[in-house]
Amino acid sequence: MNRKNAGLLSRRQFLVTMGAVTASSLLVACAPASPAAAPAAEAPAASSDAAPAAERVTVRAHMVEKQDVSAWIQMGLDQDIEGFKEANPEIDLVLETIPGWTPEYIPKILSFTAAGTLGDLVWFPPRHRSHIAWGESYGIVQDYRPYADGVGYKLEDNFFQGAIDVNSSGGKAYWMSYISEPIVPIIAYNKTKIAEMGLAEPSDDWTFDELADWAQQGTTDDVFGYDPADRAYAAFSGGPYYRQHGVEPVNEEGTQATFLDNQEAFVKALKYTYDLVNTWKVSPSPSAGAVNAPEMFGGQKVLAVDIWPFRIQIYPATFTDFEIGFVLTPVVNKGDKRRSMLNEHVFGMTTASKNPDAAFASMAWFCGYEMNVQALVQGQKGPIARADVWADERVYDAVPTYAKLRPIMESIEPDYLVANYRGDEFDLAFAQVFDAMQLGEKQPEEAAIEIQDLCQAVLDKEPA
Amino acid sequence: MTSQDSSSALSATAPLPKQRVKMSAARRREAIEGILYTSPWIIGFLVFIAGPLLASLYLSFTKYNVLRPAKFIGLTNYIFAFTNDPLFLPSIGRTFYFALASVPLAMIGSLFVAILLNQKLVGTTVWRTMYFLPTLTPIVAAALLWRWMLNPDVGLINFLLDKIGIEGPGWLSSTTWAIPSLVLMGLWASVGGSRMIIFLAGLQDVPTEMLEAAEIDGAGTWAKFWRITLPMITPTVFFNLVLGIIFALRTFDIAFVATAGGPARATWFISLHIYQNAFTSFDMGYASALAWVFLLLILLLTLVQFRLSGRWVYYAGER
Repeated sequence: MNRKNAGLLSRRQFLVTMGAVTASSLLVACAPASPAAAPAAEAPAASSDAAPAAERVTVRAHMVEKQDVSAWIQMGLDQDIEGFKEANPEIDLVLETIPGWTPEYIPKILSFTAAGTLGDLVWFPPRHRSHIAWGESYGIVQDYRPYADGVGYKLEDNFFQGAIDVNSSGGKAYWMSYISEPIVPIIAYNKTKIAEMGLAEPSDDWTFDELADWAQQGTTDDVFGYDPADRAYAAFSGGPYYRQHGVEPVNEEGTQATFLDNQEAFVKALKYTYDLVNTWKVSPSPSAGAVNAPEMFGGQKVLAVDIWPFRIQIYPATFTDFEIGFVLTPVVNKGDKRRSMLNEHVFGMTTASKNPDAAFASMAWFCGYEMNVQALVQGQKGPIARADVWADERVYDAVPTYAKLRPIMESIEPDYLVANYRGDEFDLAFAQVFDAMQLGEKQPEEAAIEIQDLCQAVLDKEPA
Repeated sequence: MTSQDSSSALSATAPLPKQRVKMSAARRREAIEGILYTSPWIIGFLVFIAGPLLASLYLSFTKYNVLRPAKFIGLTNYIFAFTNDPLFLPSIGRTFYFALASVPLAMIGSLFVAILLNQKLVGTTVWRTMYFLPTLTPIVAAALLWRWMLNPDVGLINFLLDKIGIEGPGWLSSTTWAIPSLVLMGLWASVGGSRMIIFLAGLQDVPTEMLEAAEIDGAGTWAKFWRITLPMITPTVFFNLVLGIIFALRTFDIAFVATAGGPARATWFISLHIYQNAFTSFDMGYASALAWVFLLLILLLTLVQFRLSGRWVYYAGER
């Protein structure tokens, strides 16, 4: 090397250095996950049967980052509700949260599974029992009944039978109810404003026709009388509405769309939703842009909105400028039996779990009695399918409106089955036609037939 | 001819045995170094482009959901797309509608802006920067901004239309207006972008002596543009057209953010359909088949454009 080039890197040196850096990077990238990324894999003799009692185990629980999911469980840990930490000093419970909702969450879980780095527990909000595929087909979650039996935990003593049935298949319990509630069973209304307008207070036995009349009386140039909001009359959130009209979307086996088995009733149900927006104009039209129902209700631009149960506590705490009343959603004819449908968020124990006993203990605590009474009393999450929680007077002292939901929950009907586990696609197919109808671009009669055809096309697909 | 003659003739015409061209040590070292220097790109291409491309071709003949091993099912995915999928062909139709509406407008718009910016005006650099700025806006931010502007009730566009006595449409909330709205959003983001820069470069390459000669012969502005400028920039027009059509057909992000394919699937493009099958339904095999059908369509369209280009594209260097 001459003097001019002294101190400069030669091509050979450069290539050797870069080669070494590339090789090191590849080795690091291809190495097994670090202990920090997969602590469960590091824990020796993970099963508590084999592990010494004092040995610490880590339970990794995957869930979305959400107030009523991760935030509440973290609050429960901080408050050590039911003395979970005291009773299980060896368990390090790590909440691995994922921002967003299922479009962000599910691909992550599948990636973890494919890469062999999945933790011990997974959360899931099923649609039409799509979660059973995670046990039966995908093999992501396992039957936790043996672990429950091992510690004398009787599922039947903890949960309503209906909630056990929808989370099981072939005698295997794949999922445990965490949030279990009737789908959009209640309407929140602006008590202050309807008193000013001289409108009558609605009653729990009202009919859809009465709701339409009431909403028309309450609709002015500035205010809509009613917005379906959380219910939106969609395939999932509108499930109880269609059942109330005598329409069951799918047959018992989950293979045939049955909207047209009672075509007259289905068209009538669709026509009502069409009229709300396009004929009576008591509900904001989607043609005027996406409707932000909570904002409109809070801004007193709409008198009444359908809501999920968790809003029963949130709305009065958020909208303090007016008094809020709650009334059950209507029925078709006075005295009709109230129909319902179960919505759930569930937890399952993964097949990858290295610490299944600790994982089961953690899951049972998420879904436990005191944890869920406190969740309702403190207003942090929706209800659960536990008879003991629904029988606890502390809940009604804190939130009297829950008394309206108790009889519905005690006789709750399961979500209908989409047998090929393509529940989300089924809902999208329904929405495709329904949305066009609500925009006034299709008539209910035509929409009913198209919904049947498109939903059947989804049911005809291969299992997911 | 004796046998000896023939054998000597044969030996005279027979090709010489191949001699290995011996590479000098320096040349060999240079070749190895060259390969090593380009190896990061080659490895990246093989691992991140060629590998997944070939894998997706294989997966398109399988049933595969990431979690279970792929199961070979032959042409089933392709047959299903054309015979049983009610969303596939309409999504292709919508995608072509979007491309047909957006590409000509974007081409004309970009060319117009490039011509304006090619004038010797004061502050040309500032104008060029201003026109280029929308291209630098992240598409998600642009989509959210436009969603607000196009809101039928409180949006700026309908507010302005209302001021001149026109009742604005539902824009993104209307099945009729949703695609035109996306075209509008795309135009805002792309008219002043790289396409315009390429046109500008093409315009600056037009020989001034030809324009001056035409001017002496009495040609007006329009005649000069139509008879000289436009023919001279046809290679640029062709390049922008080919890329413009490919990019328009691949449109995903703007529809994903602004409408999520709605309302009532009015903006459900083929890219959204592929995404939904791959990452919502986890039918990776079927999504791969859709992607390959789509690739072949784009390839065919591009080949047709190349075939037709001989009729209207003028390359000054060619005889």
